[in-house]
Amino acid sequence: MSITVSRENCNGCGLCVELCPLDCLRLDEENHPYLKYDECWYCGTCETECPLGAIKITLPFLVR
Amino acid sequence: MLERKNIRADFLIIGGGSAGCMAAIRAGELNPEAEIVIFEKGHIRRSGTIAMGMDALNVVAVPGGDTPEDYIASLIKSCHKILDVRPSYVMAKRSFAILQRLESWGVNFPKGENGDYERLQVHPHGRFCVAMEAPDLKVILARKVKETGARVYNRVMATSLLTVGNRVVGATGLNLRTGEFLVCTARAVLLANGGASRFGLPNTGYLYGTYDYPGNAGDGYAMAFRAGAQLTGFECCMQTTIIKDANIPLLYITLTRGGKVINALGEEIDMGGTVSVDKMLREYWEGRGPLFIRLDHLPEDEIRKIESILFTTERPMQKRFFEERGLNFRQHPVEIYPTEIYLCGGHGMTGLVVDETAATTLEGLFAAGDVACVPRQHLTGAFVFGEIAAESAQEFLAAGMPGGLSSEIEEQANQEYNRLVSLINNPGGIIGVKEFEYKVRRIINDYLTSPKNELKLKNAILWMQKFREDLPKVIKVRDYHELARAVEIGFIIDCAELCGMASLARKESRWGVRHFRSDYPETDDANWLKHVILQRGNYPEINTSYKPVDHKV
Ligand SMILES: Cc1cc2nc3c(=O)[nH]c(=O)nc-3n(C[C@H](O)[C@H](O)[C@H](O)COP(=O)(O)OP(=O)(O)OC[C@H]3O[C@@H](n4cnc5c(N)ncnc54)[C@H](O)[C@@H]3O)c2cc1C
Repeated sequence: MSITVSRENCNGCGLCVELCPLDCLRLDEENHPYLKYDECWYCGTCETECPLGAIKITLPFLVR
Repeated sequence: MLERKNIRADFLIIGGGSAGCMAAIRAGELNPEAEIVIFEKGHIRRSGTIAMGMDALNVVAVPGGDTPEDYIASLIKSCHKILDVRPSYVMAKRSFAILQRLESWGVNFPKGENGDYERLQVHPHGRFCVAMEAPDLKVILARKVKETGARVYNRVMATSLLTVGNRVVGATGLNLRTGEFLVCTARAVLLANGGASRFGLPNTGYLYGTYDYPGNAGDGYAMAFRAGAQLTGFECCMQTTIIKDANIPLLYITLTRGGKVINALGEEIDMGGTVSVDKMLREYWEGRGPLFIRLDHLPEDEIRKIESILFTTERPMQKRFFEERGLNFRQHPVEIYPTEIYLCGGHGMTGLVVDETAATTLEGLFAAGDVACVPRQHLTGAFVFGEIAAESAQEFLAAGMPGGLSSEIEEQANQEYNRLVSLINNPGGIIGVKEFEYKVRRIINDYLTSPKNELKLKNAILWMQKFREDLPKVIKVRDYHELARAVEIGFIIDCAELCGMASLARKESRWGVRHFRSDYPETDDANWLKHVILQRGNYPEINTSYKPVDHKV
């Protein structure tokens, strides 16, 4: 399970981290989000809420 | 670590989801001065079952259409007679007002050419399911909550209820990012934390790929049980059929708009014009699965309409799943599969015993939404009983707090604090939270999923008792997020034992495969038109009693 973050588009605002329903995300040293906890429900909140379209969910291998 | 903070509330709401938001909004209307506090495990803007919106309000008695009385007649059937109808009746009577309220906030309920709401049939009789286009439903509710001035504590999960005798006077909370420990005393408390979605293990083996929002881990059931409340319906293990592997629903959306269900033999399943999950589960049970949903006979504009709902609302990732699998309704039947078992008072009938005022059997404690047993209430019930709970709580808001509160509360809060600290500083910690949870939920699959029998159920109970003892000794917790998960595993364990006890108590079979006892294979109306009620003895001891069903409105 992973998310793909466009390093060009992401401005490190952290909104996705703030809103993720399951608290899966954190910001790395460069302020880009990464999936710290492999507990994603693939709800789509981070993708929908990102104002810059910088984040994309990959469906977990076990379900896709 | 684990800084402590004491706070006070007039009305403490545990869970800022569908029911919790509605309760806060109503409480703010009734008493703008009241101090409303919400503990929300996620972030209120996008948390809970409706994080990404919803496409229907499943129970609405639209004036001029089927009536609340019709609804009750239909519900008695779909609950296989096990229900007290009064709360459901009150809900149906208030259902249209809730729809209008949502509409006034900008929620779209599409209307046909004649100006009527789109009413769909998903119940045995009557068209009570009203189509709704609301991908931003949660955002709208969160905005309304903000207007009330309620204090929302995001990322705070309640871990225990505080009681003085039979009266609930607050709760403890853990901030799962900072580790802050909150002790909130309150005049009235509402449990609105949803059901137990993380229960059985999905057959993909992925812990979080559950049908319902996995943040709802049966927290309220377990906290209320530990506090002494009566619970019921734990033997009704819910399952539904959804897209295989993705675990994303599509039944109501497709089947109410002309979709067909086909079994492995190519036969169409006749559901008599409605959606019968019972019938579909029976096909699997009898070896005629897998089942498929077919839409290829529908006109292009109908398929487009269905896709536009499925791919934008509720679980929009369905689109990506279809793309990656190369699925297309125009060419392919889509395979559906039974879910793992889960417990829920919204789809099913598991929950706190409540009356039509949302009161539980503990004083000062109310319950609304999936945590309360108002069978098959769905989103409508969460909204209506969220409102009702806020109305009923007013009486407690006016009264004072019970005396002698502080020392008892202090002691309970200390105990809970120490429990959490010892989980995070566990020198014997060798098993990670994932591994522990995986095993608990695998045992749930093995012994609590039908067919059930006495030996399996007793095994389940023994395992849960062992897990409860082992968890604090062996769990390895690396941070506060994982601490929250460890606390949730404790909730899942309690729920599973409750399920085992109730399933053992009901010596008959009912609700199709939801409670099939191979040692009591018949439905026995002569002896079992009653509820199995569970309540704690000397924790974790569980006492069982029975209450006849009540079909009088
Ligand atoms: C996939 C799916 C589709 C559905 N579709 C429909 C539909 O189309 N129409 C319909 O009428 N109904 C539908 N339902 C049912 C309906 O969505 C639910 O019955 C309803 O949303 C339940 O509301 P709730 O407030 O009880 O739970 P939720 O809305 O899930 O809210 C619970 C909240 O409590 C929080 N929480 C949990 N534990 C704690 C804790 N310990 N401390 C603090 N906070 C906590 C959670 O983060 C969450 O925000 C659907 C359900 C599912 C699962």
